[in-house]
Amino acid sequence: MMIQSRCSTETSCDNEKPNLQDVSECSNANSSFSCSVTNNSKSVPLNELLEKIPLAYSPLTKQLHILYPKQEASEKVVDGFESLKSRENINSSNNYLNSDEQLEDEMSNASTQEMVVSHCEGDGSSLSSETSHQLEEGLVDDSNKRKKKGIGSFFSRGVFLWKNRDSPASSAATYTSSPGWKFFSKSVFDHSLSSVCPNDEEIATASSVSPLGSPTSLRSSASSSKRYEDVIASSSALILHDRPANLPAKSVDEEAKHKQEYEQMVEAAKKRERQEARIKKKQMQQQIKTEERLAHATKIWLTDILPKWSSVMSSRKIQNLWWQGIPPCVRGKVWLLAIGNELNVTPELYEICVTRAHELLKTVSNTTSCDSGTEIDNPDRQASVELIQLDISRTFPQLCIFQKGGPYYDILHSLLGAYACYRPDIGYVQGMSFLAAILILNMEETEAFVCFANLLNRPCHMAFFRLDQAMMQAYYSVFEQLMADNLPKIHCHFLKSHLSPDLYLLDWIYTVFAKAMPLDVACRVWDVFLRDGEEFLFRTALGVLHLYQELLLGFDFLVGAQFLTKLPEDLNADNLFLSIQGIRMQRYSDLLTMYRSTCVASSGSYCSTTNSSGTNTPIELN
Amino acid sequence: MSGEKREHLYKILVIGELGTGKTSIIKRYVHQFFSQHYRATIGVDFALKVLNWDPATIIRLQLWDIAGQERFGNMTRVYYKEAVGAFIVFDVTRASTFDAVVKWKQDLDSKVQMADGSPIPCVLLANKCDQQKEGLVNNPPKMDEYCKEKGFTGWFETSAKENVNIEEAARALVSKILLNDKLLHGNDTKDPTKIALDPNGKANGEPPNGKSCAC
Repeated sequence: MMIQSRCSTETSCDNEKPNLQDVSECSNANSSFSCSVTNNSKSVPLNELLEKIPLAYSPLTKQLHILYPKQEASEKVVDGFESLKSRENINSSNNYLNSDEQLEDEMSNASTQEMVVSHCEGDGSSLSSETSHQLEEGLVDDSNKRKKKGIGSFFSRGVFLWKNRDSPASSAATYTSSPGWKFFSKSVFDHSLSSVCPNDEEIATASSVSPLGSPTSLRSSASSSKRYEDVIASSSALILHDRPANLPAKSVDEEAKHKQEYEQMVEAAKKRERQEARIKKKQMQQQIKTEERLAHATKIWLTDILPKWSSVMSSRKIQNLWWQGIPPCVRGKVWLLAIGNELNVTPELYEICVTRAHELLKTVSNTTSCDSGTEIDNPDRQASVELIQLDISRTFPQLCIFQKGGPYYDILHSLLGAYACYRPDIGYVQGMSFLAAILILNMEETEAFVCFANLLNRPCHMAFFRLDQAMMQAYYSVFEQLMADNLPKIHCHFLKSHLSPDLYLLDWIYTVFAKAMPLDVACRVWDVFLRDGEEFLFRTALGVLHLYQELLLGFDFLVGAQFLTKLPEDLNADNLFLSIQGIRMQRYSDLLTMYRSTCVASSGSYCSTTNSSGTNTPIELN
Repeated sequence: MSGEKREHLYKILVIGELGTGKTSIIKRYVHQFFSQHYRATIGVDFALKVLNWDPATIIRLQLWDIAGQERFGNMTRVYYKEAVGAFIVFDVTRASTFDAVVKWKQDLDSKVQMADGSPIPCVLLANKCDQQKEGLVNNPPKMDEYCKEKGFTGWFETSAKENVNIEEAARALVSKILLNDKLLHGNDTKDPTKIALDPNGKANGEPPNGKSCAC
């Protein structure tokens, strides 16, 4: 009863007044519902009928949705239900409507926002309010570390969901077929929460806001949303009209034929929708399974591994768990430990470098033509600082958090500027912004700098960021040799089509796949890259080629090159890791030693490179 | 059967300082859209534009979108190989990117030449012309002079955002390349560039077009 009235107000927001045909069609979508509709339709006038049907037009999807009574499914949601009730009373006293005229009135009055809020009242409001809350805080108050962390974990957690939404597989239709307005919907809420460790402070805040705060109620509401799977009522308004009276009537045969065709079309559409719903359900179950696995893994990481890192990290069990991917909420901690701090970069050092970078930036912006700088490396460093500014907003632009004014713009800027001051001999090189961004998304600013500096100090990245041609060539040669060993067909094909490794491998190495792969997959590659070292870069690269072997063999130079510089959005991490597992790397170190000596012998630039990467020369500190 | 089509494959470089809009120009030209949100190019990105030049000619432009940071200069030699035309892009709102144009041109000419040793056709693009301009670009006659002096085929004020002049600039470059082809192949029927670029590729689909490449 109450639910119906709630729904009716939502229906009233619908600006496409559904006609009877739509209604009967959607009634078929769910049999339990259909009887009530048909019963009603005999005795009740149309507009009253429409109000009883919990249909809502979603402006996002441009589709009609049937709203199912989710709240009833779980008695734990009683709180939310009560609040809904009180709201309902207000609603009904104020604007419960009967006539079409009023309906339109209401339509113009109701703002979209209100609509969303009232819809989410029972199930998702805690997310929506908290999310916007956090975002605002993050934007307004940059100096507050704790909040920044909050937003960080929110974004890194969200990675999974974004991917799902962006992936071509979940086309507009499937993506929207979950309850109403997806962004605020319960399923999103559940996913993001269950991927978080239970004692994360995030949860604490979430539950204080949420009427259904306890984990158990979340679980139950998750299952309820499964039972009451939302189905698209009408995605394409295909309506068979009677022939207009002013035209000659159809013959009986024709009439029957058209009717049959119409029914076939409707049936086909329904079949497709059912199929999509099935696929969605399967994906959902998969997702839940993954989340559960992650939650379990999180517990192990937090209680069994992190406290006794050095003693357990090399055990077989831990290594296996590591291979399966580190849960996003402990990822930063594990990375920090795995990267270590060989260089002894301290927070104080970071502060000094940041200050310098800001000073440098000031002089750059004040006097653009001060080439007669006092320091010899000044012009170069200045150039570095200027380039950083240009590149920051072009780092993961789709996340919209590194743009000017975004919550992470300043952090990324400071970090890269600081590094350019810390290692003026390297400065800023394109590609660094992606590495730094990945770290920033997973840990605190200072920690990220420590990791960044140490990561870049590893031989492979040092060679690439110093643009040491000889060493880069050595790595390419190693890669080609391993490709010939592991994937002879691809190797041969690439040779023939002149697709040399430098064309795609460069991007992969510079960004550790952050740019070429979907973010969540890239993070999993990072997990094992930090476990296994640079060798894993090449192993992953070969794994990618192996995964897409059949496709790649059919590509010419250009299509292949385009494909490899931007891998498919639906790249599945598990499949990729299966592929990687099959790649043999035994010869890696031997090959590297061999090619290093030959490449270096031919160019002679080797000494300057690895010596300095071994004995690091930090900036003079005054 | 009725009209045997000639097909050309041209490798075109798009170079210039960081953040001048090279990727945006290519996306506009190839995909007809513009976004503020392009990622920084690392190394090189690729795109293909197919032109129905005239009823008898199809032209495939293989666009090489090359990262703008000067540091990568040493690597570009590989990228420049076998290119038959180039765009050098600068940003009209940042005079420093125009100052660097000469450097890019010299770099290009030193690393790649036509079969007869002359520089490959190169068109200068004054991008972001929908915004406030800075420097020489405000004086078109001077720009004409500059281009003549530096050996540019021509220059265009472009805007990837507003879709200004990009088709025109490409047309100018392709015309020049075709003209060069004709001049060069008056005495020589073999075109090593295209054969090297397309050893086993598209010729499969449309059989012995190889000879038509030679014009």
